Amino acid sequence: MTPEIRDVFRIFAVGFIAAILHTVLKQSGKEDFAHWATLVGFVAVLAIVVGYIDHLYREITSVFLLQ
Amino acid sequence: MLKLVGAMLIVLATTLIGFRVAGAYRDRPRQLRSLIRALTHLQAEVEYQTTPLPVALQNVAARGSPPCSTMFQRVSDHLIKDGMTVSEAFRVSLVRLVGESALQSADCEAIQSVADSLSTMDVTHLQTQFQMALEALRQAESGAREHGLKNARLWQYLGVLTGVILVILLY
Repeated sequence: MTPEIRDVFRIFAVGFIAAILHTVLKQSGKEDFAHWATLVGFVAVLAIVVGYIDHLYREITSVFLLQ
Repeated sequence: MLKLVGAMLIVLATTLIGFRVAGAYRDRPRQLRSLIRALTHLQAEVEYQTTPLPVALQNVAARGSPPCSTMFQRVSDHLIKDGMTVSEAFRVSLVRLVGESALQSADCEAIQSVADSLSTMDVTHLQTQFQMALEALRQAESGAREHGLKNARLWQYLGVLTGVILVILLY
């Protein structure tokens, strides 16, 4: 399994669990915590993705010779 | 292989933490009920049988279930062996009870108010004190039962899911 595919699965799993956490917390009446859980999940995914976004921008600048 | 063992240990640890917190939520209504029973028994001992307080407390402890029975046993021991006042003995034992059980210090304040008046008031005033304490405990019990089940399930889910998410992020 390439690292990219692994990250895709990782993002999927984090999103899935964040969704479950959100529903569970919301059902037990702790809506504020539910929103925090979603936010934490979003940040976690962002931390995984940020390297790829950086890579993408470098690629674009080099392809179009912007530097 | 080592990574897998570590991942399983993390999930196991957070799951156990979740179940432990859930267990406290489950235990609280049961312990409140046994506290109510013990207090009713103590009321009967004090009001109708006029048993001396250390003996009455021992009787209550013998009939109740832990952790409340150990609390009453300790109060009795403090009274007999350490020569504390009733109010002091209850205060010390109740602090220990809060540390050992799922009960909260607000639950114990009802008992403390009874203990404070045990040595200073006559039977009629004691009766109202007991009634007030029992009423407070009953209210706490129904509240605890309502919240307990919901929170227990929540903490179980929370434990497992936190472990899984940690493993996914660290793996």
